[in-house]
Amino acid sequence: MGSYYSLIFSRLFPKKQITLLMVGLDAAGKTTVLYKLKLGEVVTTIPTIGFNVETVEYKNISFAVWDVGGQSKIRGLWKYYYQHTEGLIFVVDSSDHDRIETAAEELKAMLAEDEMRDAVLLVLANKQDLPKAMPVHELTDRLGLHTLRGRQWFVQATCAVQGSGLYEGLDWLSDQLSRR
Amino acid sequence: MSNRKHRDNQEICARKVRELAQTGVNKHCFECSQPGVTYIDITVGCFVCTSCSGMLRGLNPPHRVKSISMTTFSQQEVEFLQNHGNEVGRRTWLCIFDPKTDGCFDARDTQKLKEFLQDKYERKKWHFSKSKIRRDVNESPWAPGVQAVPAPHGPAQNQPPPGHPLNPTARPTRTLSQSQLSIWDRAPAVSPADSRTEVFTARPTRSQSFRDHPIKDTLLSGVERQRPGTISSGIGHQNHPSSFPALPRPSASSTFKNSFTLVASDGVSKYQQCHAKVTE
Repeated sequence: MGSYYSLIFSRLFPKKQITLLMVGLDAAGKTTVLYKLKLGEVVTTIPTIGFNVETVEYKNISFAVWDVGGQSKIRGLWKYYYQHTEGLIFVVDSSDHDRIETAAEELKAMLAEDEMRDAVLLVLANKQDLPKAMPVHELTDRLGLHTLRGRQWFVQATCAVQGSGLYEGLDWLSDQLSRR
Repeated sequence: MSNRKHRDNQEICARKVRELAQTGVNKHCFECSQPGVTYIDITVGCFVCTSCSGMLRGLNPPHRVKSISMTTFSQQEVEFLQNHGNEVGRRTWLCIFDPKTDGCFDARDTQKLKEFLQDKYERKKWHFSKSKIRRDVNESPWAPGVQAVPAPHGPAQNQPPPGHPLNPTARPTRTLSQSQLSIWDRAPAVSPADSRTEVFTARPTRSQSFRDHPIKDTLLSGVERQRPGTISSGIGHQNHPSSFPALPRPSASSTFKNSFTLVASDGVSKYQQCHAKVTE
């Protein structure tokens, strides 16, 4: 009987499906973020070659999160994941001062793509627990987010190993995307 | 055009890295000794397998690892790897490691391996700085990396590069400090003489075969050093001649990326022949 009601409930209020693409430079913490969201645990990851995909249920929304490897030679493959992406999660290692410009270039190139014109942008300023981690305002400047036009974006400070900030990020995404 | 040059450059660097990964002890993972390396721990300059690369990323502070086939390497990084590699890594990080007392473990036991890595890099349990020899020579003046050559070879030794940072403590914790380098060669007892290690010990070692022009050698920057047969037009060198002997920071590559204008020419194949000779 219970399952019958739940069937009716799910028919009446179908779960919203949102496809998210999560990219960023290598060792930014994308896979750790994904599995922290999925399993609630910190797993020891190996550098991703290819992709990981998981669905994360949160607030009656089913997020399909595609986590694509970020090493320099395979960044060219990101474009094959652009189609049908509603939200882009760009993960940045906040403590990596040397490569923040590279990250900014990659982000800029990606947002210029036609297929990404409707995607909302969530930047995860990851690894905030590390010393010398850049604060959100500095990252925002260095990624040049203020110059973006016609794009909804948000920077969320996170620490994937502690799990802090991740759900706040998803909150923002679900807010933005449910308005559509 | 410059794009093409850049690509050629990357090709050359990638080839050199692959060659290094096939050389001597680099063929085996530095952490778990299994054959077949796929990653480079660019923080310490060692060659590792995929699963160990994952664990190295999880250390505190995290090491940076780069895939041999899936990333691009800068000239600086290639030089760094030529000067390091697994043998030099062993002498640095496992200097006083004794398999009998410090114990061998099954490398498939990930928990043990993780503890081993933490002891090795976070606590520096077997680091050469813990050895007695190190304490003896501790008072000796700090010498930059380029001097980290076996002593007998002349003038290059006495010319510290201009503008080189002289404060070893100011170096980032993620890279090997320069003072560490000098010790290996000042205290040969620490460094078992392995003919193959010469390739990795220090860059001037390789140029020993071209000792005719040692002074010029120090003045030239990385690219020319590696191609002693051809002196390139020197574009882009003026910007950072003094920065050469410094160990490159693992992620500082972008600064230098565009400075090198290495063109694939005969010089490269000459370099490779020389390199092959040394490795033999």
